[in-house]
Amino acid sequence: MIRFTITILTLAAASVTATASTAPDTLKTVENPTEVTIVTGGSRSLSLTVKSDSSRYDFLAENTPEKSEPTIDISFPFIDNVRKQHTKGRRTKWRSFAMRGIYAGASIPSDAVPGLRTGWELGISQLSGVELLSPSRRTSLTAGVGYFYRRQKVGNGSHLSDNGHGRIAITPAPEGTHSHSSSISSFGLQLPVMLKQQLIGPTGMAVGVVGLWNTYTTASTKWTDADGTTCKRKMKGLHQRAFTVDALLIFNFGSEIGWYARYSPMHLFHRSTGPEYSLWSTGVNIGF
Amino acid sequence: MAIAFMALGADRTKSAAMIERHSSAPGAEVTVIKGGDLSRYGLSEYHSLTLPSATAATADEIAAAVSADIASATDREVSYHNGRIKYAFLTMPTADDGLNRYVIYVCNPAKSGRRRVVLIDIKGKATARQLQNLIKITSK
Repeated sequence: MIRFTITILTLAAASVTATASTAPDTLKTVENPTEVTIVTGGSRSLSLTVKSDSSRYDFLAENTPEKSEPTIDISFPFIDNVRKQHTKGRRTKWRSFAMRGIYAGASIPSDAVPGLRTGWELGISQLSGVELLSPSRRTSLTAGVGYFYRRQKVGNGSHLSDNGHGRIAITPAPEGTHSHSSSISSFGLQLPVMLKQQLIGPTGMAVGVVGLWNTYTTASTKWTDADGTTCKRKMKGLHQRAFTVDALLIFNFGSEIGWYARYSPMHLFHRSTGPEYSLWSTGVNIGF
Repeated sequence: MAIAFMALGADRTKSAAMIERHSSAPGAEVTVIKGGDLSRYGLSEYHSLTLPSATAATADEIAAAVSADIASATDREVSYHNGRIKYAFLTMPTADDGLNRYVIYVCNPAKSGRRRVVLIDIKGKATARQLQNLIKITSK
């Protein structure tokens, strides 16, 4: 918008009255001028002289463009990051990680094996691994390596007996003995391959399969004879399967604490070399 | 329950209510960021509304809400152009969860007498100085 400002250079002594109907940009109204002379002209300014019977007025009219309203822009570095992610995020991305999925829980036999009781387990699902992130970064496929320890208890009037050549069995405890305590311990590496999906914020779930490399399995049994003698026996060189597979489901509430359920359908021991059982295990998972 | 709603209402800024109210307006851009990269900057929540071509009525409604927030702000930096709020950086009373809360408002001219309005509601541990150091402001 163009606005006119009018500057009076010289004002004669004669009285001049602006009428009430004067327009806003009108500085003076001269009644019955006798002479009007444009001294200089142009697109930006106008100099003129107005004469009436008793007075002379010199005016300089300049048109100055009104300053346009300034524009302010604000930005944040993290918004830029979001935009970059938005533009770059159309591609999948590989990354490595360490220490995910420290867990501990109870392992419950799913087969009705007399004497076999609930045990416990702990481990680190992924001591280190790699992750393939989806373009949205909310879905990923991970593969890693970790380790596990699982201890399955035997009781309820039964104990583990050594059948020779590394073969063990759950048998009724001998009469006259008491305070029986037997367990099967298994330690090894685990190789989980998980599909992970973030649901709301960092809360999410993961589902996958875990290969267990059962590197070391032992059994132990302990009892007290009728005469009060405590006996212990450890059995090594057992016939565990070298490789078994579990199914794993994790729900994580936030980025740290979560719950897991694991199903181990494969029997730990080869046929006729030890108790044959499948396991359900559940517990707390830290790190997602 | 009513008390809980009142408390929620008291914790919200008028500007935050405007962001929600106009988030589905035609052409509106809404950005919501929580956690993630924000924590690096001492912030926990970022809500922004950009109306690239707000009508005078909408711009005035938002400006009125910002004016109300200016009144209740504990610290303010406001600039005007032709009697209209051009830019505002407001430090609002601490939120119920103990975090600092800020409102940023920018109103620029747009085509056909319309206005380009940017309204931002931010929560976090960052001080006003830290936040101001973070913002890049360009003026033309």
